[in-house]
Amino acid sequence: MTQAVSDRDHTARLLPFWVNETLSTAEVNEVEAAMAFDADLRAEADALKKLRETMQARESTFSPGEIGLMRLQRAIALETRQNTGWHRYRAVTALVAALALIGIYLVLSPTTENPGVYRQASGQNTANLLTVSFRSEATEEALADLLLRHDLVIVDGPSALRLYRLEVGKDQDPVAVALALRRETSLIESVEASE
Amino acid sequence: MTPATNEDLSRLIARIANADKQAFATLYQTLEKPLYRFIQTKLNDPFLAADILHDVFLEIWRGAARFQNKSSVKTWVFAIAYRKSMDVFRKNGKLVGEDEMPEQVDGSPDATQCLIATEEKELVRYCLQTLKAEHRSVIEMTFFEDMSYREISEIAGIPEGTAKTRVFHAKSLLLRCLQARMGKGARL
Repeated sequence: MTQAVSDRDHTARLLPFWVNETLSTAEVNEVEAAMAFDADLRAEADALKKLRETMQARESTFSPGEIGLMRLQRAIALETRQNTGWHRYRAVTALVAALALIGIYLVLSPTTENPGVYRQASGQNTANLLTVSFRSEATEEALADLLLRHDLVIVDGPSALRLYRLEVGKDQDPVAVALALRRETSLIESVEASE
Repeated sequence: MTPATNEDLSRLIARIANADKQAFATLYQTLEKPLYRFIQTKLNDPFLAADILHDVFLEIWRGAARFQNKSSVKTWVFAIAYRKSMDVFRKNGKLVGEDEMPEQVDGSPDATQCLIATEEKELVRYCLQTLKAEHRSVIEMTFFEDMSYREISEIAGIPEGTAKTRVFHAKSLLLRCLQARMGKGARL
């Protein structure tokens, strides 16, 4: 009798997973053999099926959706920029230390041939930023798709004038991207390269 | 949620490990709704759930290179969400004892018939809210996400036997609530 109760408990614990069809073949056979002789188990299985149907029919919960994706892309872009700035700082520090060790003094000037050495403290390179205003009727989904297609990330905005600053992917030419964006007339009102 | 096999998701994770933003967006669009629902079910706070969802995806972005396919992608991702949700509970002092035996559990045919008769989604929603977070989340994983007890065990970091027992208790408490709300509580 105790063994029978124990077996029934075991089967009852498998029943929810028989309902959601995630049991192994051996477990399915075990549950179905028990149900064949147990009307209560069959009734409970029917009830759990109903529960599953009811839960899966519930309307989907409001979720952050595309806004959440944009927020993530912005956070990742900021994180990437900070990491890049830190690596650049370390590289420059290592170079200076090496030069000091061998007693060579060099005067470095911030020329355009050496753009990676001298950066703003924030590490921000404004050459790869675009200032953009989106059309008010553009949907979040369309904007997210636009950003992905052109490898762009929102790094600032919206301003009071509804302007956004977009960072161009490191392998992209900002001018070419700006020209491409100007052709997206259904989504974009204006595009300016940052100075 | 867009149907995607574990192989599809694994390929996305491999691309994310190489900083592929398009793959990251695809993974987000695939898993965002079920993950948000899972977190929200556990916390019952939409704003906090949105913040945790954000943290979960950031961790995916940062940790994709460390994913070794020892579990399914979905299990890995839901385990991150579970852990972060539990951290919030601990910080807020909301953590309750796990797997306590319900005071009264009725798995009788009357209780199950009561559920069969229950069509109202609102009633199910109400009764889910009366459960402890641990019980709510396993019910959600079992009946909405269709996860196996092995997956639930991995996500919650508990033995498989405990996962089965927790689902059993949660299901029994849910039936009891539904039975009571249907006006049969006097019999319990």
